[in-house]
Amino acid sequence: MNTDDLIRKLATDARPVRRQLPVGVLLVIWLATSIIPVAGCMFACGARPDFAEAIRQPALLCQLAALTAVAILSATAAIRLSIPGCERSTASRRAAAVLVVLWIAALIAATFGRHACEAGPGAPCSLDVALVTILPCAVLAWICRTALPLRPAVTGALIFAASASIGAASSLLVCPGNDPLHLLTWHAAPVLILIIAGLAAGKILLHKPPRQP
Amino acid sequence: MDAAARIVRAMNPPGCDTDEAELGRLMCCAQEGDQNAYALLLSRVAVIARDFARREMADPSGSEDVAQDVLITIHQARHTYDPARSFAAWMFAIIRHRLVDHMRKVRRIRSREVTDETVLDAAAAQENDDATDLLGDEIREALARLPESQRRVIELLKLESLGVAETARRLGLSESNVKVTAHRGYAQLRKLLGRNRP
Repeated sequence: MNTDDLIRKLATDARPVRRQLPVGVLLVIWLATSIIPVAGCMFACGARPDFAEAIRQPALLCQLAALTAVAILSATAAIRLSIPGCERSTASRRAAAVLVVLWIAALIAATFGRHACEAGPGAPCSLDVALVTILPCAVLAWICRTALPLRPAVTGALIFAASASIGAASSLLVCPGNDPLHLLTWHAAPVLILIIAGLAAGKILLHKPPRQP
Repeated sequence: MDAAARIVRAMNPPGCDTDEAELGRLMCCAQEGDQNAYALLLSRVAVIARDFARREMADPSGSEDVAQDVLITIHQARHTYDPARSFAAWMFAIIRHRLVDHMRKVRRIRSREVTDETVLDAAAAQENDDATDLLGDEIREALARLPESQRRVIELLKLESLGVAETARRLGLSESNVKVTAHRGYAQLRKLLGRNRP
């Protein structure tokens, strides 16, 4: 088909469209839906037995703050990356990556700093991370896919980073384990695995090649 | 005026004074369903995309393909344009990514296929002779099962006996694109006709 014919065809197909909601509104919608699985996890598993005491510990508070920041920054970056021309700088993405790296580095450092560390049993913790990730991941992927993710792999990684951070934060609220090796093995590792999986998933699920109407 | 807006102004066809604000206005009208405004916008964008692709690509023969991909992408993503943001930034994000996608595709094809025109000419000549010998009905049925781009090329080359240059002109493609498409079409026909034989 030559270009003039294509233009005629596209113009004939032009219907009024509803504009994409602003980035801030989409982020709030996503955050609101992310609370549902977190609440569900706390309801199903119950808060950690030492919750009142643990929540005052700087180590836990820092992790929760970092994970919340990663979630918000990654989700914002994913949404912006899905709207052509919206992402003016890579600051959000880089900040999220730095926070994840710092979190893992802090856990590794704490592991070496202790005399005896035990990963201990932790499959349920990883399962919590994965299960809580599902809904935020699905909602954010839907938001991004209804726009136009021009970099599907990176967008996928950001979606999984945002959602897995919510999952990791949720698991910290229910898991009583404080051992850094346990946190590294059963809480942080699943987040890393999910981010890598997000690269591949994004490439497959978010790729929107140009298709004639 | 930012860099993208300057490029938009510089790429206007001669005599056309469309600037970024005007393109943004046309896009807003298009979002409301104004087909005339949309057609005008797409014509302008096609020129900009084609010129940009020609400047960026080592082989500018694919610039028309890039321009068409950009137009289709704009059609798919027109709901994402926000009048509060720069139209040029929105448009060039799409143009840049489709250009990169096209260049990756070309690189993939070149790494796997022969594009030496003398080899393709010889293969096409042999294939054309072979194709003439096949049964009429069977080949028409197989032809109908080909992807539209391959079917159109083979129909024009074989059924309407047009040359490669004329076929390329009619379809808005480059001559090498026509030859590669014909080559693939013949290979697919051989597969389809090979399956039908006991």
